[in-house]
Amino acid sequence: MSTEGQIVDKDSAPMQAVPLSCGDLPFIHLNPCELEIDLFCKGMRIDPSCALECDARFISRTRAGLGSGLELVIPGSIKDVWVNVPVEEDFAQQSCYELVCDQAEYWVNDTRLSHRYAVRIPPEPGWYTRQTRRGTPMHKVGVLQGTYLGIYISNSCGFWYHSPAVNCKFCATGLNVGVNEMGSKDIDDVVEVVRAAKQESGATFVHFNSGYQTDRDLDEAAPYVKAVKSRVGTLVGLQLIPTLDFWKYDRLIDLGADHFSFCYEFHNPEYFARFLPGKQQLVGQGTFFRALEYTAKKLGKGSCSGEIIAGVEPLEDTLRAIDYITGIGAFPTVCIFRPTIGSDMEQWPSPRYEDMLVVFRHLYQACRRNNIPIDVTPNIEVSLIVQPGDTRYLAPRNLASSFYHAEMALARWLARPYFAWKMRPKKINASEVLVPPKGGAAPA
Amino acid sequence: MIQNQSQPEVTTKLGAEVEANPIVGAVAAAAEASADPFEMETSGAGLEIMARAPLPNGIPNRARMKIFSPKPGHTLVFFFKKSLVPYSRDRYSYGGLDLRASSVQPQEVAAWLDFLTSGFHPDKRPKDLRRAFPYEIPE
Repeated sequence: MSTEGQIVDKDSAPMQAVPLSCGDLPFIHLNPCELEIDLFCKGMRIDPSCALECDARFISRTRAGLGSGLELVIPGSIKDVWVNVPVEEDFAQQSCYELVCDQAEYWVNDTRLSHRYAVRIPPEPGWYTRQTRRGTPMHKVGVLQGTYLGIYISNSCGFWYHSPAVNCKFCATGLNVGVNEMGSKDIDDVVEVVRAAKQESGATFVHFNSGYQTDRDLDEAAPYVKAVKSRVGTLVGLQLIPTLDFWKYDRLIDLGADHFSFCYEFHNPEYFARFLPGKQQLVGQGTFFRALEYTAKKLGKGSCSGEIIAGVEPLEDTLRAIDYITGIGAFPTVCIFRPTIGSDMEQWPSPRYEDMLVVFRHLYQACRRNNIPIDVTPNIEVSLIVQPGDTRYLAPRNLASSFYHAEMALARWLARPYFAWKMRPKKINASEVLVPPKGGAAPA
Repeated sequence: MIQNQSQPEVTTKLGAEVEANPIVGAVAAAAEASADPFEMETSGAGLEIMARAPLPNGIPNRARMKIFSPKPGHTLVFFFKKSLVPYSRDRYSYGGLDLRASSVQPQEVAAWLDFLTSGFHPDKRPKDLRRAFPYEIPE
């Protein structure tokens, strides 16, 4: 296990491991990525000493429900790690981790070992409490999840309204709209919020997603992409139910889309069918694979991602998924399963830390082996997952890892002017109404 | 029983809500007659009832039910949990019902209260519960 980490004496700078008392347990020194993984698995309690109403972003469960936790940052020598720590779920109430505030500084106590980790609590952006010109509370349009802006564009997910409901079993999307989130998003509201997030919070990336929209998913996203790219200028990613009408991806790229992610969740087809009945019946796992392969090839290595959930299907299936995703030049977005409140899987156990460590060590190796760019894009820190860049803390200390890290550092430096250009508002001539190419669409 | 019914603010709130919506009266009467403990919340829109008995696993029951009328002729019954984080305004929905009639059957109300008492156990979901409940829910 790495000895680089964040256990600190309260009066010293980060990086020195100073256990207060280890009791009978062996001293375990977690580095920032290991701590991130363990916090995802175990959650955290909040001590009354914390003044989060003054110091933290308010918690808002939107989208699939992963963002229901408390955002915090674990400082580190390689990079700072952002994590949205589960605090609401029942398992978090029994966690060995506890957030405490001591002399205006925040710490995560490991109560098993009586030692603690220094953390930062990202403050609430000023724009969260403002309204758009139409009078919509800005935080109901989009929220920061780490350093990027997440916006759920459409009115919930069709899987929830199907009869009988065919919603994904881990998901809480259908439970949020109207309660914590606006039902539908006005384009001018979205532009205003993206502009505020870019100017005031330094956001470089907007991630639009939606639930199932009866194969109109990409069509409905198109006006938002065009508006943001032409009126604000940020990197734009889309996470939508896929289609085999690949020309729609071409049109969205014409409008400025920079990234596509595909949540196929489980690699094992039996788990896919069992836990994702809507995706199974109305979309099919193969559609996710074909769309990911098409867009990854079209946009280039490291531009697109396959999203999976670790901790439900057998471990070997998760490892196989990572190999598949990296093998086609995409990057793996691996969510540690969270039994979110109200979901059908609320009573499921949270995954074991030891298993997740295997997953993310494998993820690092797979990215390195396939030379997937990690952390090259400026200021995209995703708090809901363990990012590939975070797994550099899990890298073996050898020549191959050092070479890969040097290569990525160079890529980051070389890519700066490119991303600066990408993040300027641009005149876009393409229509936001997606129409097939003249002469008909090529077969998928 | 309703544990805090004798508090003046609860009496006032309950009186006003019952006058505005007879369904509230039926729910309050059923809660009061029940062997399970409930409490009423006086702040916010509509009538909010909380289950008060701990769950079988010892964890406090966080289940709540809000009854309100967004417009004449509609009564919404919304099941939810409040955030555990003191400053959070988040609410965790377990679905709801949109009632168009001005009265309800006693067995329907009993099912709502059972669902509440169970801590929203999936087996206790009311028959017509709409899990995806896309209404704007006032605080």
